[in-house]
Amino acid sequence: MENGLQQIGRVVATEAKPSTAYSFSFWTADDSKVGIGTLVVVVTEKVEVFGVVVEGFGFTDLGSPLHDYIGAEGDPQAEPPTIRPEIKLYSAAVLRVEPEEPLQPVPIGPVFLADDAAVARALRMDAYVGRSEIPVGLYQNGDLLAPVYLDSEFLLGPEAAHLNITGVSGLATKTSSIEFILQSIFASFREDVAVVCFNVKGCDMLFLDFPASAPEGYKYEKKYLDNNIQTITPEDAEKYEKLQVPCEPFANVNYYAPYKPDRVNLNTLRTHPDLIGSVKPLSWGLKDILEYTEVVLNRDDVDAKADALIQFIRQRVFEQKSEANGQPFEVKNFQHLNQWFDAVLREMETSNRSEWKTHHYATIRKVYNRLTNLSGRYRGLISPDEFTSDLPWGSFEDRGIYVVDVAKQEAQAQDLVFTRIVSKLREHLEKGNLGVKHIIVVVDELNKYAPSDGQESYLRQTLLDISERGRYLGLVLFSAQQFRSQVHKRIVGNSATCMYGRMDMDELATPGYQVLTPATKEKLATLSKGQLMIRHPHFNQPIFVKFPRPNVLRGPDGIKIFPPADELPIEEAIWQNLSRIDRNLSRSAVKDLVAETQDDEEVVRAMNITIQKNPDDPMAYFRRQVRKKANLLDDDEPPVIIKDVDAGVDPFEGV
Amino acid sequence: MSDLLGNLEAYIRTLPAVDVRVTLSHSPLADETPMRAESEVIPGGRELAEECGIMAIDVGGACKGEFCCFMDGMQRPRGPIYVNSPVPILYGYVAAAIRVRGSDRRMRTLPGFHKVDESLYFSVGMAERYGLTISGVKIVDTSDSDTIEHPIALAQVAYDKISTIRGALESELAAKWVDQNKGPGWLLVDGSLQSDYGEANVVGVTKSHGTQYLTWDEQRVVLSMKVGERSGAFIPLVHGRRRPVYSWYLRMHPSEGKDPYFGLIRVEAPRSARALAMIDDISRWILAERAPLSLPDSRWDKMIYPIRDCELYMKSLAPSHTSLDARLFRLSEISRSREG
Ligand SMILES: Nc1ncnc2c1ncn2[C@@H]1O[C@H](COP(=O)(O)OP(=O)(O)OP(=O)(O)O)[C@@H](O)[C@H]1O
Ligand SMILES: [Mg+2]
Repeated sequence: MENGLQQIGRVVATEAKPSTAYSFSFWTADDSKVGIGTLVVVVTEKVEVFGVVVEGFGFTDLGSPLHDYIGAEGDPQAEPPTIRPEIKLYSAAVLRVEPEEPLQPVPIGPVFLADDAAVARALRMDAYVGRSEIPVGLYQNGDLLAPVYLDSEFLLGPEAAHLNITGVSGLATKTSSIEFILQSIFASFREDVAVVCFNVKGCDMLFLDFPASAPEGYKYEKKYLDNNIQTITPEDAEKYEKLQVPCEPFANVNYYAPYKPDRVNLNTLRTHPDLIGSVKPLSWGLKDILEYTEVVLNRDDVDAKADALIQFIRQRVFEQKSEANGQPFEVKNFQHLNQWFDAVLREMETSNRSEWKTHHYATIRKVYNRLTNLSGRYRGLISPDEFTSDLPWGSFEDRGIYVVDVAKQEAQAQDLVFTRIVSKLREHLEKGNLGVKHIIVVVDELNKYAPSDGQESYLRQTLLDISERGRYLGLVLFSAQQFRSQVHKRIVGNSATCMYGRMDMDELATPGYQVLTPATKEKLATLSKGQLMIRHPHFNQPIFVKFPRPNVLRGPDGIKIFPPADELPIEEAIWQNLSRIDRNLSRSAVKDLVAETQDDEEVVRAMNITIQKNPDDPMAYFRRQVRKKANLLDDDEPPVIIKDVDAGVDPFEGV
Repeated sequence: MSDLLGNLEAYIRTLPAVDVRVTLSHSPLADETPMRAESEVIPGGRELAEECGIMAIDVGGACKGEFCCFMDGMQRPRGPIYVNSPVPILYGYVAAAIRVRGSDRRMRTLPGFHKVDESLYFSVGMAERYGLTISGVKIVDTSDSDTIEHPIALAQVAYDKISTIRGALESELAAKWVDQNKGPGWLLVDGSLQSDYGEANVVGVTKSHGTQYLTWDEQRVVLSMKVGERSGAFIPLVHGRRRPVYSWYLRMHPSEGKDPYFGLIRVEAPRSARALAMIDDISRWILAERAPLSLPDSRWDKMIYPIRDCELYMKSLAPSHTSLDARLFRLSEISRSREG
């Protein structure tokens, strides 16, 4: 054929099944490579019509199955002397027509398989390739593999934004496809961008800095071999080449995890001795929490009166010189706050007054209880003392990935982590002082965090907010879930790009998928690993692509190579943590000090402060920090007034 | 394909005064009905060819045979059209095709064995009386001194002529096939054998029974034949002349409780000793062709599938009823547009 394309069929139109401006039918030879999802071109003198096959029919002139039965005398093995002609008829949905006007029914004409150039035109990629393309996968047409690109202006803003992926567990390759597309964005995006990944499932994203295939001479090569780690295949390598995405693990990954309740062991699976050094604690102090009280406190609790007291604490008590019960205070952390509350209550009791600076006794008890409970409830995450450790606000790095491991946190703690981090991201992006102009927030299990039904939560509101306003700020949500139908409609609805891996038939039966043909649904239900269906604003119809396995160590493999360390006893953990800043630290000296002090909370605080300070002589500094508490040194901290008599018991419960 | 009706239209437009009338709604089964034999019984006769006479014989069940090629013809008459006169002009499209069944059991057209003809059929002499000298289109003159000068009779002659041309096309193809095929394969044609094929591997299968060859008693034997039975063979006589074939009846499908002609076909083979010896075999081969069924064709009880296949092939390439009707309608509009 003159146009260099391979003719595979002919358009047919009947009164019963006519061509329209959006769809047409064609038949093919028996051995043609056409299938559901194949891209084709109809070429006539006047127009070129690009289409994607959405349904296939095969039939003969048989009027009724009964006729075949009768003809075969009821014997299925009967071989009739003549075989009925069998037609393979396909329906295609129109992707693009050139010229676009006038919009008319697809004409009768020859049908060709699309080649690379035709694929690019069919998907309107010619409008942005060379300017803002992000490779997402390869469209397979027989032996041909054509790259498919997304438009970054519609993936990362400002025109449109967000990516959502749906599919069944383990087969849909949701996590993998997000990893691949991040790598692709890093390779192709022309502006700066960083990623905040919330690791919500086991060890999913804890080894992003390790390759799937150990390169030759690699430090861990033997471990990879011993553990039989599945490597990147040559076919995958070819896909990387075709897509021009480097087949590498992520170069700049930063891990954060809250502590366990002991505040010395990190609450993550990345605790292998070789790796634990690269995990930073996520530990927030009173200041960080005061800004988000409405998230951490039960909403019903924060009535106008409680709110007024919290405001008072924020503005007049926190990090200010204040007085209660005749004593001077400068509240800097939760411990101080406890002491301050105790002083306030004591003052009221001695003076026999039911109000303190217009705040009622009951309100004070209630807020006291709620706030001081927090550091107990989120012990690993909320620091009772002045030690804090957080994401690098203001100095996010281009192409940096910040993995926040919340997999082991209970739901409310996850809520707090998500909400605070996302709010901070937004604040910094608004002010333009985050360090990068674009942030991608990765959230798996979206149906859990932003369910379509269930109670309104801050987290869901936060996610909704990103999805609706994020694109103007450069705040983009990449989310995944098994069942899209169970996610808040507006959140997935605002996602301009949607990908679908292997799907569940029950899910496909839900109303959200009505626009898909039965064949497309069938195909979705049987997709193999690494195959995705993609919707993107430039594509008029969903497109099927293949993507290569990310060259990143899968979570379960990572655990095999780097098994998590056992939880360490406190003195051992403290020694190990401190060893990170001083390799020659004496184990016995640390042990002795811990034993001597007999106050775990205090030594942990001292340890954290020491690590944060990173002094020249860590042991000496550590020792000094511990001593402070024992009042052996001069101290500007307020004295301990009273221990909470009924800590943890809320006298207003049920009021 | 020539644009015959378009050319006719062009011719009509050259005429100074025009009165065109067109009969549009012909029977939808026009492709199959115009043969007189279907509606009128023609007397014939027979000469017995087997000692047993016309008794029912069980042929011994179906058996995979040697049929490899199949021939059918079609005709698509339209009209009549009257141009400035009561002389009926018929449009006729006729075709014949031989399709070969490959080793994959699929049917394909034998290259060079699809013939079509598109002509206007009318009495040229009578038309000329009205100053009609149609040019630029293919014409078949149906003038015949015996014909009653009546539009209906004239139209019937034209219909018959279309059938004749179709028969000629079929004969031509069959002769060519016989000439070129000396292998073991056989040709099965739809309808009766038109010529003397000598020793050739050709069989005809007739679905219509409008000619009375047998006596009343013999007919009774044939009509009560059971499935898988054939009649004794005979040489058909038409107008007292012996046709160059042996013929016999064969029951393809059980007819109990149905029309006595249900599943009843009449087979013809060349009048050779070889064919006479093969009557049971040929019958069994035909029985094997009952699958696949030719449904949804209404004549499925008598029509084997490869013949239906030939028919579908030809029809798929013939001008459609709709396009022909549209063309004729344009003709009828000419006079009206002139008036307006
Ligand atoms: N492109 C690919 N080709 C073939 N296999 C792949 C590809 N990408 C990922 N896989 C494999 O598919 C499996 C599942 O992938 P992944 O963990 O990404 O799925 P998931 O949808 O996130 O599952 P879950 O719902 O359990 O989180 C993994 O074993 C992975 O190695
Ligand atoms: Mg996953």
